[in-house]
Amino acid sequence: MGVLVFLVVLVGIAAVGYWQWSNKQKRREALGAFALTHGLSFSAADPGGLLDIGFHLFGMGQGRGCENVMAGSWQGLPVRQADYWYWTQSTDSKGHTTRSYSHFSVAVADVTAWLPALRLEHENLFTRLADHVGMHDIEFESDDFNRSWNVKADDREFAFKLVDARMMAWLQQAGGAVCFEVYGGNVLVYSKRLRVEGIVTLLEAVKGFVDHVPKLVWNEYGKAAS
Amino acid sequence: MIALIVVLVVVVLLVLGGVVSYNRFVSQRNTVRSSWANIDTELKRRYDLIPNLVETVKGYASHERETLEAVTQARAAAVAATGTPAEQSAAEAPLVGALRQLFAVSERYPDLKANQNFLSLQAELANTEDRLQAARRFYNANVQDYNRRVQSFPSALVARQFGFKDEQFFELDPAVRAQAEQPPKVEF
Repeated sequence: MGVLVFLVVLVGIAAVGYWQWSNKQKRREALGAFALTHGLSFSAADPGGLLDIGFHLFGMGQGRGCENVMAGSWQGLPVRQADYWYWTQSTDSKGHTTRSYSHFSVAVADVTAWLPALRLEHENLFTRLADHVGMHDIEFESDDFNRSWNVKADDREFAFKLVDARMMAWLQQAGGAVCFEVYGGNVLVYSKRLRVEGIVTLLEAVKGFVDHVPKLVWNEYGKAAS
Repeated sequence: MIALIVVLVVVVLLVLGGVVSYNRFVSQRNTVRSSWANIDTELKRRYDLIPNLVETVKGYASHERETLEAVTQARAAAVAATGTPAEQSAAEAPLVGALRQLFAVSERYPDLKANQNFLSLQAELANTEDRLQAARRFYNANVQDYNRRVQSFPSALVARQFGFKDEQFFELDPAVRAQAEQPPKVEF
């Protein structure tokens, strides 16, 4: 009886493992096909060192990785798109460790500028609570915008150059479920891992964001690559 | 004895809290002032561009004397205003109106609109307007943060004790840029 249970468990683990591997292969093939259709290069690994860019997201967790990297030009803008994940490990009182993974779809655009670090994330319960106890993020002239977006930057002055009325209106209208970061010569857009059909939304978002960067920012910090 | 220690600890904590709060007020007030200085710099940059702009327009549209004089007078009034942000804002409004009128007038002179000097002044003015609006947003955000602490408990107690008062916001019509960047009208 014990052997039978062991075998059932073993077969179950193997089945789950195969199912996961199979899904991963299917996604990889679908993303490869997507890249081909849109004139982008595709690599299962990360040959360009995407995670070397100092985005806050790429420093989260105790371990991280990325795969299925597409690269090329999206409507004239140099971009890379990838599946990204990081993991955190916790140990309970009995000494059992568990890892939990967070998965994202990311798109990174190259811009010929050097921008100070800035993050645009959606407000959530924790950030709203922090606001109520006086730990405010950067607040702008629109209450609607402030309620929707949590903006963090070391260089506050840069934040007010980047997020002008036009950018605010665009973020409110097109920001959807994606978040943004700028750092150095790159703009990052990310969301929870998307199905292959959703990748276009991400690439449109990074292009839209770069298009809405005020002229003043390009004048003072560089130019858009497109 | 324990009660005395508790009272002492509470007093020390209150004093420390007061010192931290006071220092933060000083730092915030300095930030407000330095961000106002940024606005002042951009306003001066704009004032510096206007005489050249007026001279260039005069070369093509000398009989638009009324408009040109209105710009010159509004500029002089704005330069002379060195008061509070509200007073400065009030002094800038006629200048913005006069500049709008100047750009509206320029629409009637195709030679002027093709003039390289005019185009470059127009672009420089638009760039200055962008910088001015960014500086204004930064200043107003700093004022908002500062005023919030002046009005909130418990920092309001420190503010009242040491005379930290609400700062004024600065409002400025951004229409100059919109006007300056309008595409040329084509008439058949």
